[in-house]
Amino acid sequence: MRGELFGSPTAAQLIEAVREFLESLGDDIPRDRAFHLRVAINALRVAERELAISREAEAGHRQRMAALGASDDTDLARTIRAGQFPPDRRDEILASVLADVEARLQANSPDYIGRYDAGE
Amino acid sequence: MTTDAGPESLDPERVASILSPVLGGAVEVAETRRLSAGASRLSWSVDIRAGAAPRRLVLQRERGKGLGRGKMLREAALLRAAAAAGVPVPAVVAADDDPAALGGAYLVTERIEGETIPRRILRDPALARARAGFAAQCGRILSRIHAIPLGCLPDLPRPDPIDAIAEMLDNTGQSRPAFEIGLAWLREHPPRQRPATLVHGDFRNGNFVVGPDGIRAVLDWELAYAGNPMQDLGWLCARPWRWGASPPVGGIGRIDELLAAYSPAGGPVSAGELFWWKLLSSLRWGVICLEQARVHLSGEQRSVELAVLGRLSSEMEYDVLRMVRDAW
Repeated sequence: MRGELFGSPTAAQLIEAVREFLESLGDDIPRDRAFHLRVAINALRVAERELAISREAEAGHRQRMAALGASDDTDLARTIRAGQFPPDRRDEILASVLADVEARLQANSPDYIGRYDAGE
Repeated sequence: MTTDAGPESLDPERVASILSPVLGGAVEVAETRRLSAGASRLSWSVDIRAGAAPRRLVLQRERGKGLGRGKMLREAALLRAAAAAGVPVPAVVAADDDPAALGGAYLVTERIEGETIPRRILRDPALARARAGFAAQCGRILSRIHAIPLGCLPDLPRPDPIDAIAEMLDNTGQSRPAFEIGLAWLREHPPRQRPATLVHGDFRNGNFVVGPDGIRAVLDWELAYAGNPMQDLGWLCARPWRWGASPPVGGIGRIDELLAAYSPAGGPVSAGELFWWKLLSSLRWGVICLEQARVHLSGEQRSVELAVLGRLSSEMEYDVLRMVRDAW
């Protein structure tokens, strides 16, 4: 993924620098913008986490798709919508899709599974 | 703030000109302050003097596009019917679906003082008594909403709840196998049918004005429709509207307190029935998150908040799969 053409700072390092700048604004932002500032910082955190894991996570996703015999999420979604998956493979499909969602949550909301299990 | 030109501003003189015929006399707009910028609406608190009397109001104005547009007159009629049925709601002052006067359809109501921010409602020591009675009060309010005869109301859509979610998902152009699994489970295990009632459609912690005495007003009737009343119970108890707290009713109260105060037509509510509507609610919120991201990505309304909701949708994918795994 990370080639030498663009060198340093990498895309991830640029995002990190912008995120640190936004975090430093703190109380300089009018109150009615403070919420969106926090949302913007969170958006950059998501992007940073995605870049850190994307190569491995995408490979895992492709492996799971291949094991199910689906070409991609669109193909899998269409098959489920059409009711064309054999009932005896339900558990396997659910486990595979759940693994994808867990991988997405590592970037999008890394605390979520722990909070879910804690009953929050 | 409010003197800025542009589509997100509010002209105090125009506000005075729509209010004076309704209130019967000269109206002076003392102060307007922006409250929120939702995906489909902007809202302001508006303090006026009509004759000698100061009045505190809320003005909502539609954006051109988004969920729930073009329906301010309908919402005003719903608010009046709800008030007549003893549901706590703000009184309607003025409404119009014609965008000519203010640059968008608008609804003006009285402003009811109290807390609306969910996490403060969960924690503020001053609201302890409101929390103690919260679940039962929700049950009593829902009983009243669901008992309003549909004949007393404006024409309401009657969507199939599963089809409505599938259509919204398809409209986003995104493929989500987790949501397809949820839709398949819901279709295979249809819930008990109940006579159609008014459904608020967004009845949850976040759309209530709460004071120390309890819920003072139920807001945001823009998603109302006619259908199975259990949708309102499932939505109230859905995980995203617990705001990170454990108690199952809005992060505040218990299910038995809610159901003891709620008497639906067609018999008592079972745990399995409530589970079905909670699963539908997590799925519905997850798809609404994707729809909000679509609104951003399409350029209808550029917003980092809407963009991030698209990613938070995966929290609901997780909920849906865990719930289906437990139920299959």
